[in-house]
Amino acid sequence: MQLKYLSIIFSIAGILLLYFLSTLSQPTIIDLNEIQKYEGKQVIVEGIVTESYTTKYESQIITIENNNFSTKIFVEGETDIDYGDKIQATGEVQAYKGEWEVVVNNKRFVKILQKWQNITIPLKQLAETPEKYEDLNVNVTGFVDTIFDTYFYLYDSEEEYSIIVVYNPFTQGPFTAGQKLYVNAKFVFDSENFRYKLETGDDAHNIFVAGD
Amino acid sequence: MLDLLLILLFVLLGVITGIATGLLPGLHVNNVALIFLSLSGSIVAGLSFLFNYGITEQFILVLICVYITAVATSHVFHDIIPSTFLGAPEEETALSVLPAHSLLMEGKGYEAVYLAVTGSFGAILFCLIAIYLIRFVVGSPLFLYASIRGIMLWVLIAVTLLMITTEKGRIEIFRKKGITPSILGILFAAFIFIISGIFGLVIFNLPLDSPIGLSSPALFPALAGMFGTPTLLTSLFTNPKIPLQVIEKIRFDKKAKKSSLLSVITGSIAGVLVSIIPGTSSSTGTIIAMTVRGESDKKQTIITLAAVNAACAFSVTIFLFVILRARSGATIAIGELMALEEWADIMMPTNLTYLLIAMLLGAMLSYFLSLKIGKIFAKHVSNLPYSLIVKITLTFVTILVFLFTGLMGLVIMLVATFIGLLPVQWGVRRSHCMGILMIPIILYFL
Repeated sequence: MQLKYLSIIFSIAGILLLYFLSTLSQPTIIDLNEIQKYEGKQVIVEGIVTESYTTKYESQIITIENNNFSTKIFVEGETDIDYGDKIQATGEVQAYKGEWEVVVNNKRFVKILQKWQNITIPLKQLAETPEKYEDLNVNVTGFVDTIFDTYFYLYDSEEEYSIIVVYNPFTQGPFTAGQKLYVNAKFVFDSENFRYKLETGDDAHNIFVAGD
Repeated sequence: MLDLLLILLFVLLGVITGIATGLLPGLHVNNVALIFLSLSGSIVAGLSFLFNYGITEQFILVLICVYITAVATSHVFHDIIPSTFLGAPEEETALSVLPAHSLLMEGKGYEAVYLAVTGSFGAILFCLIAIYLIRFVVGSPLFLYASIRGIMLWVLIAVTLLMITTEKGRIEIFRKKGITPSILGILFAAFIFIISGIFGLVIFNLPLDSPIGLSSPALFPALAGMFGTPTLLTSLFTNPKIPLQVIEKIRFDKKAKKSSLLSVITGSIAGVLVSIIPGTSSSTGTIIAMTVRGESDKKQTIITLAAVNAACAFSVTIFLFVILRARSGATIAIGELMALEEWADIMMPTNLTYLLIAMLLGAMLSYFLSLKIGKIFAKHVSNLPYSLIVKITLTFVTILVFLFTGLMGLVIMLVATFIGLLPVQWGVRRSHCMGILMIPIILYFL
């Protein structure tokens, strides 16, 4: 057979062979503390989004945290993630300016495993490890206690822990004491009063009354 | 004064390295940039005695970038020599012959080198004269890059259609006359484009493991296989007899001068354009330039292709400071080594000035050196054991691919070679193989 026909057959057969090899070598899920062992390799990382910003040229740099370790993810393009979302990213481990990062060349390789609104965090957990959730969006369930003009106290079912929830009385509420609420808010440290609080200032934040 | 002398020294070293990377097929400036990026810490430590003379660590990193830029510039010029003198097929038997190979087989190899070197130098000068225009058009206030980015998908589709529909190759397996061979040529071009794209999508997921710890992207073996080895293999199969080369002073008449100037200008503009559009190559730029001009003369094609190449190498460095995006392996390394200050107003960032010195000085030195080396090649090529040199080159490329990408890289190169043989064997343009980059990028923008 002539080379011109053989080259068609071998091109197609070669691509099929490479496709088969690529299915055998799918990237593995790694822990964030062992990222440096995988330089130049494709990996899958998972974690909670603790920071995210978009560069001037529409690339996104996301910081994720998992088991007290964190890493940066560089994404070509902008994703729909929010602070507090649990995400999975597939990309290549690279060193950039002395730090390890996972470079994801397409935003489609960043999957949201769980939206932050769907991860309910008990007040007890927030109180015991506040630093883990600081500046993250959280979903907290509790009962209304004392109500003020722009904030109210939310306590847990055991009445053991309580926290201030800052809200907008013109767009949210009205609430009554003892009402069960699902609060989607940002967990922040109020340095003036030296305490943590939940803020509902963003479009993604909301307060739902149980049973409505 | 010492800093200026050091810049000159690093430019000179860069030009010498560029001669080596340019003359040795398969060794690309991106590999050199990668090596120097990984060695940058050791280089700074080795040159730490310069701290006593007021040279800072940052400036040593700038010197490495100057060196990489000079290598890239020199590579553009010297790469012309092996691509002219190596891999030429027997013209009687080959369907697709590159314009430079065609001139070589007419005994005009030196003329091919002269035309390409002149085109390259002309493009560098054109880009230098137009540097402010390029900066204002691509960056603020006209923001061409931002505008194109918004419609990138359509730009890429338009470039793809232009590449495929302007295919002039004829496939005469069913009929020799009429429109059928031309239609088959276009369909086969589309087939190569698609198959290259599928190949590109598959290889980007493959793990590569360099035995020397300097992993290159999968593109290295893929491009070497698609564009390098098929030409060499075809030459080996057809065993051409290289005629005695004529070496004489090349003179342009008035018409040729005008035509060449137009080739340099259109090639340079196309080179700047393809540097902005991801996934496009110099050959795409040449197709755009030749289509705009309506010219298909092989001498003008050589000048245009060389101008596109040189303008690409020049503008990717400028764009690193204008749009803050790296568009080549060399600029990725530069971006990691030196502080990138956006060129937002009239005054050029200092680091860009150093790189411009490297490009201009590198181009001037390379212009004379490449003509000199080209003349030596032309003198001796007809007496050399051509098949043996082609075999050595193939072995060298294979060893490089193995060193940088391991066994998987060799498999990728083998498959890429079969895909690269398709246009050579069926007589259509090789640039359709750029589907390897364009299809994944089109899918990204979808």
